[in-house]
Amino acid sequence: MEDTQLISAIKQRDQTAMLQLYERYADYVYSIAYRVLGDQESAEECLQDTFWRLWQRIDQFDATRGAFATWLARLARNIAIDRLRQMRRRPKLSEALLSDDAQPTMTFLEDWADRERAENLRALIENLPAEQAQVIALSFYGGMSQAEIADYLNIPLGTVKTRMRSALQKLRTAWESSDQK
Amino acid sequence: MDEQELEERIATYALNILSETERAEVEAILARSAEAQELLRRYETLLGGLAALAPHRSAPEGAAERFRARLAAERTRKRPKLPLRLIFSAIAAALFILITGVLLMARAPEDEIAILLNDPRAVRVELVPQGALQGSVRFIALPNSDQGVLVAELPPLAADRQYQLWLIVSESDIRSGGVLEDTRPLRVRLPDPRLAYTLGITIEPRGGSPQPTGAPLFLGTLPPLR
Repeated sequence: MEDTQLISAIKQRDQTAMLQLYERYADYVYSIAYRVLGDQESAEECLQDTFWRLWQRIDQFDATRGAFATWLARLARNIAIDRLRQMRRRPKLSEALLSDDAQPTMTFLEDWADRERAENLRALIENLPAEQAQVIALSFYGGMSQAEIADYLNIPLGTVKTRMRSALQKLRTAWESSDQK
Repeated sequence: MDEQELEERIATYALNILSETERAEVEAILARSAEAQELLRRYETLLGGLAALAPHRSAPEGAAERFRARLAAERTRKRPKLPLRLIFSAIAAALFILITGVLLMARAPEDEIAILLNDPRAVRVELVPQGALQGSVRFIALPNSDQGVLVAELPPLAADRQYQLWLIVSESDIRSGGVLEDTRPLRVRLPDPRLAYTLGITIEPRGGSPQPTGAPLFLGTLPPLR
């Protein structure tokens, strides 16, 4: 069954469809949670909370605003960041946007419509200046505010803002231009 | 606000790295700007793509079974049934306004509420719409305390109606959480923070009702805080 069919069934409170979607995306969500939280127990709690949230709020998914996998990835990451803050701890801070030790989780999805775009995004990240990638990584995986990053790196807040703005604009432009190809 | 500043605000909002106060500011911009909404949509898809680059890992053994059990438990838990009523007609064509708080027990100074909203330990519960009513309702509470705040963005009502918050423990234990009075954030005190509550929002006659008379428009579950 396609994702769209499962989502329609979930909107009708079909628990079997919900479990099918879980099976399909559990590794994907867990990978994202683990990347942020850095330990198995917290990452599994985040995995369960993400799917529970999905079950409760499936109506908030709007297919016209983007692919389901993208929406789910963002949901998982935000829940992981919230959990990180609740625990009031940070795992070993990740200052790299990409890891070399494993394949990106999106490459394991069968129906990942944006796979090519994500590959392009990966290539662009590899070419970002290190200091720009660093501030994005600290905010994206560490949930750090711009002020916290400035404090952590001991650099002016304005510098953090400039680096972040520049990096995000580059990434967004590249993401959108790859969408138009 | 110039274009560059707007983009930075939207990007950091999408990154979920803003304080509660900053988030509220961006949400106010989003509520009135189609341009900001489109920019947010673009950043959200970008960040979804970025998240999907996480190194692949297999979910722990038994995780699916644990989720299955959680889902099955919902079947056995009966949601409190509230009498149905025609409540949407008065609000169908209404415009959005910002309603920022509801008091349960005692109103607190605004600075105390701001501290609570920005506390990194805070537990945040998004109440889920149960019908066509648009809006958002969020409950923020401090762990190991009985303190919380309800923040809502809901359409305005006719002058003789108000939104009312309910703290539901069971079908026989439904307590009023107060009515939405004005735009100021107001502190909420939970009767017993050791309990989990189903939080519900209904529309009631001005001044509130002793028990809900309408169907819940929003529902959410607050876990025990102690």
